Amino acid sequence: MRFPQMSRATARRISLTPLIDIVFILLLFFILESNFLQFGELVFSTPQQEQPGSSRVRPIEIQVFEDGRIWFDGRTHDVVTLGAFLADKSYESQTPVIVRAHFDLPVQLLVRVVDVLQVNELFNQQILLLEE
Amino acid sequence: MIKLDTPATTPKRIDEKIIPMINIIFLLLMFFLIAGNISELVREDVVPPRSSSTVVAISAHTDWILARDGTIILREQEMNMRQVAAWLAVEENSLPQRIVLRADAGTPSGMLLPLMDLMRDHGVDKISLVTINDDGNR
Repeated sequence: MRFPQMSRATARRISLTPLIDIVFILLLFFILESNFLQFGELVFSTPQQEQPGSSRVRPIEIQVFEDGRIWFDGRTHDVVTLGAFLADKSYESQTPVIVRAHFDLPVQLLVRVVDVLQVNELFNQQILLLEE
Repeated sequence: MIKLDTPATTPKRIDEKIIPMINIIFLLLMFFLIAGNISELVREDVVPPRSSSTVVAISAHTDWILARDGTIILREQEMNMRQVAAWLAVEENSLPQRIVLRADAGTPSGMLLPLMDLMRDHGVDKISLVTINDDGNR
């Protein structure tokens, strides 16, 4: 008797190599397209008109120029030295702060200045344009 | 004596070696699917400023976008300040009390602050500026 031999091809299972290729491609796609940036928010109370004498505490005024130079208390600062200076002064948290920003000052630098104020717990901020 | 061919065992052995690797690949895939954010932002060229003081996590998707050249993208329509003012002048176009604004880090402050003024004039109390959390200062 002669039985027909089963070919090895029919006995072979589905090849997993193409599946692995597809999974690798998908993995590569998601690695490249994933965005791990975490977005936060910086709350600005909308700029209000100045009301001189409305607060008992004298407001402090900071002028920020387009190149990031900061003029405060009669001296020129940068973001780092401003933070140290404010920390030394130890202002009360309710001290009103008026930030006058130059027209061409990039928002990034403005945010850095606001960061410094918030680190020093100066939350009562007004941001206005620097009048030339 | 009849000798029947035994099923080949080699393919099964190969499968057994590959399956753990496939498991790892699928786990990595799940990680990037869950942890990653692959949603497309409108105007991806508008990159928010970095900030070390913001810890509240919000979505970067917002109706209000301010590009570096001063173009305002409102509900996916590009406008300038004058057109936005005209749009807001229409009675039915009212603003909520809180607005989330995504401004480019390089946008001049002279374009941001007047926009905030305009929003205030139309009843907005707070403007949340979208920022990117600085990892180094956490």
